[in-house]
Amino acid sequence: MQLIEGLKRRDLRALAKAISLAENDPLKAEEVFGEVISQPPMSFKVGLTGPPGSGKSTLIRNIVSRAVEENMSVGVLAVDPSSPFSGGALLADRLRIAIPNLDPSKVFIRSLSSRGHLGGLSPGIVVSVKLMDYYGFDLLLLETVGVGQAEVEVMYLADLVGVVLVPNLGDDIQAMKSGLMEVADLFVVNKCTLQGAEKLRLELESLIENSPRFQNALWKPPVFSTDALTGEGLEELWAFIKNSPRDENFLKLLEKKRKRQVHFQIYQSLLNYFRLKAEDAMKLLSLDYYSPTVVRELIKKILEGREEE
Amino acid sequence: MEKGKVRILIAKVGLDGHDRGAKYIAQALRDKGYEVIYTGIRQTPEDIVKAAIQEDAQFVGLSLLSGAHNQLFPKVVQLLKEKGAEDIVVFGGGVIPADDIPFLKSQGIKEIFPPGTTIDEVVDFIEKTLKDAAH
Ligand code: B12
Ligand SMILES: Nc1nc2c(ncn2[C@@H]2O[C@H](COP(=O)(O)OP(=O)(O)OP(=O)(O)O)[C@@H](O)[C@H]2O)c(=O)[nH]1
Ligand SMILES: [Mg+2]
Repeated sequence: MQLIEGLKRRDLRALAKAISLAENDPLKAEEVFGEVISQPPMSFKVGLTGPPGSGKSTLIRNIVSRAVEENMSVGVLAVDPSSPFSGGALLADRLRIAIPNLDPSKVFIRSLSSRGHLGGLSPGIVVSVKLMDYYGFDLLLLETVGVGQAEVEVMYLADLVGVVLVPNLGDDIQAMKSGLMEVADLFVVNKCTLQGAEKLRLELESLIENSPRFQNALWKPPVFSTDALTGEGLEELWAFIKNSPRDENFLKLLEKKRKRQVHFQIYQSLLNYFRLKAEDAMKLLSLDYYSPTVVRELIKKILEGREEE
Repeated sequence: MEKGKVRILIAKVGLDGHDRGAKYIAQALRDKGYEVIYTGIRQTPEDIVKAAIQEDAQFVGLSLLSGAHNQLFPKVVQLLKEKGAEDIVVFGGGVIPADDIPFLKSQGIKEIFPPGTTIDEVVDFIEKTLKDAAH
């Protein structure tokens, strides 16, 4: 309750603590922040995803600094992986994103751990994004963990998804089969001064041009070449991001996306509920072997637990 | 303190570039199950306090080998107080002469870990602090 009032007062510490609650206990946070999560989406959300080390955080740093120059406020949620062994995490996106001496009321950066979640984000991310949205930023940026080919949840949370690639990770067959390719609203070929960058850009363009998905499509993802260290190509990328919310075709796309976002939010919440139940049920039995009987027994326990509530 | 994952900000304050110790501690704490936010080198006390609040860290661990600890460590504690975040526990490590430790503690730095510190000593400190706060 106190936290909600803090959020309304636009108290940064309340926002930070509210996000902790969402990450620690998404289901409880849903209850506590019911009023917040049922608000319609407000801020424009841009997600960046792509393989480890491709330059997502460094690009975000560039985007943040351009947005601030234009007097916009920016919120960033950046996810790094948790350790499968200890459950701990070393969160270091902030190290690349943070710019010294920025006004904290204009730029809010929060590092999150994936906490074992496999979709590229975190179990509490839906509620955390809602909280950031409610607090209100002109621009909300989401960075996924370094991803492979299948972690595509960011498409259900961001309005505009950028897939950040670097040269020499494979050829156009990799590009064709990867789920990442389907979530992109735009591509960034980062580290564009490296050998192979131009080839990658041409391959992507030809793939988009010839892909059955994009025949007569409302939206064909553009490809940007950037160097996040020197800032090369950032002007064009930023202009595109900034102008998309006014693009007619993008707005049509967004309408569809927002429906998908709602479905995902509810689905994610159900998954959190049953995941916790499953974890509790696992503690009740001694699990020495894998068999359909064991699984049925556990499911029975989960459902029994449900009726008690 | 509330339950959930313990979050610890490990920060290199000031112009000192010696970062081996800080990186070692950051990784070791991750391996002990904590969520560690590592800021990297050359952070001002203002940046560190801002980060600690945004990250909702329960602890801030400062690392300094250059000798400026008597100025910079107390500054972090003071700025946290100004922001109403004095509940965040500040501790530190690095090349810090034993003679300076009483002064630093009097300034609100909860514990100091000099060269040779083992990770278990740091974990004991964190767990004890959490336990005391729970009472
Ligand atoms: C390696 C080293 C370097 C490397 C640094 C590489 C790097 N990226 O870190 C290089 C060669 C670059 C270097 C350069 C310099 N160095 Co030098 N360096 C050392 C040396 C030999 C070892 C430091 C080290 O890495 N130890 C290993 C790590 C694991 O130990 P640690 O950092 O102490 O951390 C442990 C504890 O202190 C503690 N800890 C540390 N931080 C934290 C934080 C928390 C939260 C916790 C809980 C614990 C904790 O836990 C760790 C594990 O036990 C020390 C001498 C020494 N014996 O300490 C000098 C020393 C630190 N350097 C010194 C100096 C003067 C310099 C230079 C200024 C030299 C020059 N004139 O150019 C430069 C400055 C560099 C800079 N940009 O700041 C002096 C500092 C003098 C002082 N304090 O008054 C020292 C003490 C040497 C000396 N006796 O004169 N140095
Ligand atoms: N040469 C070059 N290096 C870059 C560029 N962008 C980022 N880097 C470097 O690449 C490394 C990784 O950059 P990050 O921004 O941390 O990459 P990331 O995608 O956020 O990495 P993860 O979060 O770990 O997946 C850093 O050393 C950056 O300095 C670029 O355009 N050119
Ligand atoms: Mg990153």
